[in-house]
Parts: sequence; C-alpha cells; structure tokens
Amino acid sequence: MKVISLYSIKGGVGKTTATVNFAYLNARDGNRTLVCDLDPQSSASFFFRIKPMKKQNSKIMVSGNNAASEFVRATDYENLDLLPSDISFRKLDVHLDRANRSRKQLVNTFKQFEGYYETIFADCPPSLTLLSENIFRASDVLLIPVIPSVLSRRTFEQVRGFLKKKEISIKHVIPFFSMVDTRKRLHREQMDELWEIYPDFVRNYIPYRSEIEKMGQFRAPLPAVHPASRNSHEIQMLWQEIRERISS
Amino acid sequence: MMETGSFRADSSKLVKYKRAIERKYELERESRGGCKLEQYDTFDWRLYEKGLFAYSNSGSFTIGESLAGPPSLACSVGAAVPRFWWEFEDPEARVFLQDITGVRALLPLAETLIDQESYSVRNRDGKIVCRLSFLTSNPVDGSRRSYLLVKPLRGYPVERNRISSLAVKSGMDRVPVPILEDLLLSSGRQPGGYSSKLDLLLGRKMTISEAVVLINRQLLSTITSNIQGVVEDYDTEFLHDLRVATRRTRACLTQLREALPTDEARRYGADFKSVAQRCNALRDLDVYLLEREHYYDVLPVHLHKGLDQYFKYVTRKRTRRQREFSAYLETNAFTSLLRDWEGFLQDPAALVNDSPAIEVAGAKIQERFQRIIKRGRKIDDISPNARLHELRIECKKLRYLLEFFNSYYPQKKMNALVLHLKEFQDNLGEFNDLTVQQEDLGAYLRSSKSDVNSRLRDAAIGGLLTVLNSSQVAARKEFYRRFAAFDSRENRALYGELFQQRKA
Repeated sequence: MKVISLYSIKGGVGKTTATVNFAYLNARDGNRTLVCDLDPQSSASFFFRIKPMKKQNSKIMVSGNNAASEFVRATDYENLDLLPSDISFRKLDVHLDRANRSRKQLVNTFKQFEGYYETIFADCPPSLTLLSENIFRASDVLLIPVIPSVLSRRTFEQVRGFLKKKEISIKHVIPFFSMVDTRKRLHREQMDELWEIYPDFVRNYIPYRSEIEKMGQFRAPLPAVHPASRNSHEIQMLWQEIRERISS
Repeated sequence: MMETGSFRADSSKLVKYKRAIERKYELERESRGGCKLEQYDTFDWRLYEKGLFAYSNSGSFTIGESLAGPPSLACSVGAAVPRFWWEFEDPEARVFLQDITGVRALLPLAETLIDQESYSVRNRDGKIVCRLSFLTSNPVDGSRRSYLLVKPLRGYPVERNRISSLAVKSGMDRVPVPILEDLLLSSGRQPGGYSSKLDLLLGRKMTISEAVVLINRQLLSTITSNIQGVVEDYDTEFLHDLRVATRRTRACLTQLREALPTDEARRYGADFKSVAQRCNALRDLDVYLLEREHYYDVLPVHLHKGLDQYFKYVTRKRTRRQREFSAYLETNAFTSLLRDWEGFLQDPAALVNDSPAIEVAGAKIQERFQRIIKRGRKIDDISPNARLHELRIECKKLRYLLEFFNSYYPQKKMNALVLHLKEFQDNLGEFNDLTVQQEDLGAYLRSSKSDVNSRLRDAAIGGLLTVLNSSQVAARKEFYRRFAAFDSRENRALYGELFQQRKA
C-alpha cells in the first residue's frame, strides 16, 4: 500500500482538485484506492457528494482499533472509496497531541487499510502543525502543488526546510505546478526559475481554467465527466508523469 | 446462504417497485443489454463448497460469492476459459485458483442468456447510494426467470436496507439461494452433488448383506459418474476416483464375501479386479506427469533437456493408454458389467446374510489390524521389499473397512485412528511408489536406443535413479518410526475399545 499525500501550507492552490482527479485516475487503472479527506473544510468529500455518517468524529483517526474503516464510503466510481471529513476534523491536532506517539499516530491509523487498498490519497489541510508532521511520517509520496507565484514558492521552500529540520525522510517529495496561467509573464518566469533550481518539479502541470474551477459545480472528477477534454488530457499527462516517477 | 439483496420479480412488481423508490430517490438507468453467462466449477464443486461461483461473460472471467458483492477474482481470458489454474495468464488468477481447484479442471456447467438493466439510485445530494439490476434469464428449461438485484455500496447500509425492504413491500420474494445458484439449478445442475468420499450412514440394525449392498451402490454411482470425464479426458481425477471406487468395490467383495451369494461375490470380485488393473498403467503415467515439476527440481539445470525427452515419451504413452482405456469403458464387456452389477444390487436375492453389520464390521477391522501388527513386527533390516508391499496392501484393506463402516463409530476417535493409519500408509505408499518408479525408469533405459543424442537423457535418468534410490532408503528407515507409532499402546487400546465385542 502506498500513501500519497497532497499537501501545501498555503490554501487555495488546487490541492483538492488534484487529489480528486489523481485518485480517480488511479482507481480507473484498476487500483483499489481510498481518498482520506483530512481537511475539516471537507472539499474532497464535497466533490464526491459524500457526507460523513452521523456517528463519525475525528477521534476515529487516532483511536488504536480499526474505527476508521467503518466510516469509509464508496464513491460513484469503481475501486474508489472515501473516508469523509467533517468540521470535527479541526480538532485532529488536539487529539493527536493527547495520543501516545503523537507524531506517528497516523501511521497506525493507516495500517488498518493495508491489504485492502493499494493506494491511499490523503487530502491534507493547509497549515504546518502536528497533523502535518503525522502526515509526512505516514507518507510514501508527498505531492506539493505550487502556484508559480512568489508567495506560493516561499511556502514550498518552508516545507522543504521543515522536513530537513525535523529529519523526516519521505521516499518521494514531488512538487508540481498548479493553477498555471501561461498568459502571465510572472508565472512563466517563476516556472523557468523553479525548474532550474529544483529539477524535481514535474514537467506537466495543471493550468488555470474555468472548466477546472467548475468541478465544484458538477461535483465529479474531470476525466469522469469530460474524458476527452483538453483539461482532462493535461491532468492525465501530469498524473502519468508522477506515477512513473513514484514507481521507479 | 442467502444473498441479502436478491429477489424474484416480475414486470408488474418492478413497476410498482420503481415507483416506490422514486418517491425518495432518483432512479437513473445506467445500462441495458444482454449477455451470455457461462458458469464453471470443478466436477466435485470445489468453488461451490467454498461458497463461490465462477462465470465468464464475453472474455471476462469472474469468481465471487454473488452477483451483487465485489468479486473475489476478476480477470480477462481469451476466447475460452482455461481449464486449469496453471493455464491462466493472469498471475492473481493462478494464485487464487491453485489453492481451490488444484489438479481439477474448470468445466463449463451451464450457459444462460441474460437481459440486464442496471440503475443507479441517487440521494438528494446526487450521490449514488445503491445500484440495482433487473435480470431476466432464459434457462434451458424454458421458463423465464426475472430477478431484482440490490447491489449495496460500501458505507451506505441504511439506504441498502431501505431499498431492499421496498422490494419486499412491493410484493417480491427473496431468492432462497444466490442467483448464480438459481441459474445453475434452472439449467439442471445440482451444485454440490458429487463427492468421491464414501459418506454412508449405516443403520445400527442393518444386516451385513444390506450394508454391503448399500456401500456398493454408492461406489457404483461414483464409478458411473466419472466415466464421461475419463473418456473426455477433462482431468486426471476422474480416472483416480473411478479407480479408487473400483478398488473399494473389489475390496468390499473379497473382504466381506460372506455377505453376498458366493458365486456372485466371486464373479464380480474378479471382474472389478480386472477393471482396477486396467486403470493402473494410466494412473501411474498421470502421476508422473503431475509430478513433473518435482523431477525437474531434483536434477541440475543442465540435465533438464535430457528429462524433456523422457517426458515426451511419457506423454505419448499416456495419450495411447488413455485412448485404450476410454475405448474399454465403452465396450460391451464393461457396460454390461455395470448393468448386471446394478441389477444385482437391486435384487433381494443378494441379501443372504443376516448377521448384524456392526458386529461383522468390528470383528473384521480388529482381525485386519491384528494381522498388520503381527506382520509389521516381523519386519527388520534384512526383510525383502516384498514384505513391505504386502503390508501396504493389508493397510489399504483396513483403511477401506474403516471407511465403509465409519458411521458406526465415534467420529473424533475415528479421525485420530485414521490419521495414524494414514501416516503409516503414506510411508508405505512412498516406498512402493519409489520402487515402481525405479523399475519403470530402468525399463525405459533398457528399452530405448542409445546414440549420441541420448547421452543427456541417460544422464538425467541416471540422476533420477540415484535420487529415487536414496529416497527409498530413507523411506525404509522411516518405516520403523511410523510403524512404532501405529503399534503404540494407545493406538492398540483405541482399536480394542472401538472394535472388540460390540453388540448391536
């Protein structure tokens, strides 16, 4: 089982959009996939039209038994399930803080999915907290969406610094560009610069387009609704590049 | 086993049901079409015994507990479903099937045309909470059957229950068995209807004649039901089961000969002996081929090419023998033997011995056991191999008696007893197999031409002979340990307790 986390300190960088689409593409290839929505804004859950069950609360993510499994719900797509989030997930940090081995609790929680799912996609809340550290330690792959802007670039560098300082080693840390507006000179310049400094940056990227923004209206992965569209194609190219990178 | 979400339906009830659902949910048709479902299992229902069903549908092969739940295995196959697990291309399928089907072939059992309409049921958020399929089958018996299948989605149990209970409210009955089983039944198949094991419940007041007739009727049915499989050469186990049933028949006729009229016991005993003998050569060749991997494993890789030649020869010979034996099964001699035997087993004139079966059984078993102990104790390092072979035959006879009369005795103790005997038999069997294999290989070596190309082959056979011989020496050493366990005080006491002086 591979845990792939999508993470950014900064909000509104297209993190959930990427999670939903990548997870869908991964499942479509026949891999049993679970999306773990860890963000109290529950945007990923919203995209899949899934509400949490009544009894669910954020404690399931830190209790030692297999509590989380009971709350997993199937999406409308084959091989793709989701553990929804709700507003109570804002307290995850508090629960983690109280738990034993508080920095590695999520590693345990994910263990219950071992054997059934081949991939877990974790959609993480923006911020840099104890939860983030838990996520880093539980991840095999950390995907970081970066808008080619000065502020977004800065937060990316902050994450790198944090990982280094805490001596957290993740097998693959892969940044990719998101919400790219190629008409803007600043975006183009930033991309060129970043590609040069950080050759790890993926070549394909997610463009800024209204069709992608509309995902919130039709509430479904883009390649499921418009499989032949240009945007779907670009997202698929990006996912393919990432997939090749992490399977090597 | 009952599928929670499968119902028998007809069109008027479906209309009512759809209306009921649409009061609370949005119903959307996802697909509509027809397919041809072909169902498979081994002859002895190995999948069904595990609660599984296998079916193929236009190039895809699926195994699952029901049509509703997630499949246990799904893979694509070519134009035809492979017969054996090792013939599947999909590695997951190979692993999955190997454990269940073993050496048995997957046989096509039933073909049903099915019309299917699939719907998704959405809640107010537009989220799919359940899927429905309306199936109509056209089985061979001509009756159209319609089903409703409620396919739950993970995490939506409340909706699933609500949608299922609407089916009941619309007047539909649950299907008592999974739909896939219902389809088999409507194609005239009786799932689980075969086992090669003797499974007899003998009455405690039965006479020995009645018991012997009953035992032989079951054996005859095993023989009969395996004939087609041998002739068609589906897999090796048809012959194996037919052979074992034949041997049991013959053993029953000789060991319990006083249960039947003398002339008939003698005649049929001789006839079934000759059938059993005809099976032997073919079975030996089957075993060689089944254990082919093992032979390759014990030899160094550079000799494998030499072994190829040998196995080519074995395969050719097996094909010939298989044809011969199949032809024999269709001769008048064989078919009339079975017909006469069946008639005889129905004839009240066969019942000539009024002794209580349970008493005869106990005495026979005890007698056979004592004989084995006596003979076994005489075996030492200088005894000829023939003594061990004789002992093996004695053990086999004891084993058959235990199987015939198994139901008379407490199961737990019988299991322990049979286990001890089996461990002992395994050793004797191994010893015998190793002897036969060495003889066969020696004969092959003597009869085949030697030339420049045969060097590798001869070296491979020589290598095998060495390995077989050293295994045989080891088996002979092991004999003492196994026999001591069989001859233990506990085991003797158990035989005494179960089989001595029992009255009906």
